[in-house]
Amino acid sequence: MKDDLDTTMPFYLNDTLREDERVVVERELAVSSENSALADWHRVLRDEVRLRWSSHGMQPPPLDRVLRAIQPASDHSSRVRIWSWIMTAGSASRIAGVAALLLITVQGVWLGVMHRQIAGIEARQSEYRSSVGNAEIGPFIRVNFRPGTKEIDIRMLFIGLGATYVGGPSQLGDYYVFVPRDQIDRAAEQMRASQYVASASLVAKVPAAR
Amino acid sequence: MTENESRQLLARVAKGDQNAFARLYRTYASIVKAFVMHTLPPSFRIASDDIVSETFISLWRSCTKFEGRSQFRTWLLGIARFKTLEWLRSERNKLPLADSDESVDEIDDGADADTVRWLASKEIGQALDQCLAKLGVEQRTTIYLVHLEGMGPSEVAAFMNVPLDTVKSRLRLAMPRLRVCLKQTLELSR
Repeated sequence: MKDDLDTTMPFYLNDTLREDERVVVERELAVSSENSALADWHRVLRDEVRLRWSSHGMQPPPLDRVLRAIQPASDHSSRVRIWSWIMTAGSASRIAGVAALLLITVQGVWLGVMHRQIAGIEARQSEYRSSVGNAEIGPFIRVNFRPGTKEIDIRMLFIGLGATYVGGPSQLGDYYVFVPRDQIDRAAEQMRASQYVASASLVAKVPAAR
Repeated sequence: MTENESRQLLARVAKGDQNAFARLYRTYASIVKAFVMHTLPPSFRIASDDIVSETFISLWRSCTKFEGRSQFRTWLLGIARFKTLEWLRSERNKLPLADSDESVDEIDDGADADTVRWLASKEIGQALDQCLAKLGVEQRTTIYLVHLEGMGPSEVAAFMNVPLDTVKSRLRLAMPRLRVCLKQTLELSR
């Protein structure tokens, strides 16, 4: 019983035992003077511990010492708080908007540069075609195709007639092809007969590139 | 300071308010120091100021972790206990051999009813200090929580993160040892 009282008396004295446990303890204290003496000893222990271990008069370390220690931590906390503010829903959407705008601007500038480069390349190609065309000795066939004609049809027509592309298309859609002189009239006739061709005529030279 | 006031101050601390932190410190620092000092082995009490400081630095850094499931004071003492154990682990090579908390072997304190009655009637103050110092850290902590914080069995178990039976076994082991020690110390001083 002494063991049981040693585990229950401290809680009996601080009034945290369940009611059924209190009843058991009080019954044990009533029937035995030995248990009663043990209970007295626990009361003395409790009173002495409370007296001797109390926080009254306890001198903690100076507050300044702790405040100094948390100062760097305070800066750290500020950084954490700023980051937290940035990452709040409202701020995050604002930042996402700015980032998207920046991305669109960069892409726009890049597309502009690319467009200018492509235009330059096309101009050089056109000039090259014209210069190549002039290298052949005419006459040439100037051919214009009906709307909706596909590039593959044009190519197949040229290949079928033994024509070599030398220039175009011009602003009006004229292509210039070279056919050996002894075949050119027949080739022009066949072109005019093609369902894709709107007109075909002989010309002395290919216009210079502009 | 009421529990509500403490929680309000803690909420201000979470926003970086050092004045609120200072108010909490002035209220609770001596309580934390008493807890740390009386649960540490006596030869290590010189470290209690450092542990108190560490406890409050930790409070400043982790104040947002308070979930309100316990009283603020209990939560703060929980930090203090963690810091104390952390410090003891770092110093374990220098620690005196502590009583095993796992052992629940019965100790015959050899104290009959007359002796217990005699002990209860004696001025045991000085001797009690010596005898409490001979208990293990966990036994002293249990006695502190019961008599100074007024915790019940399940509260002590939750605070120390041990089963209820362990709390009882610590008391079952500690009380006879205290009586034996007190009897020997007081008889020697006769």
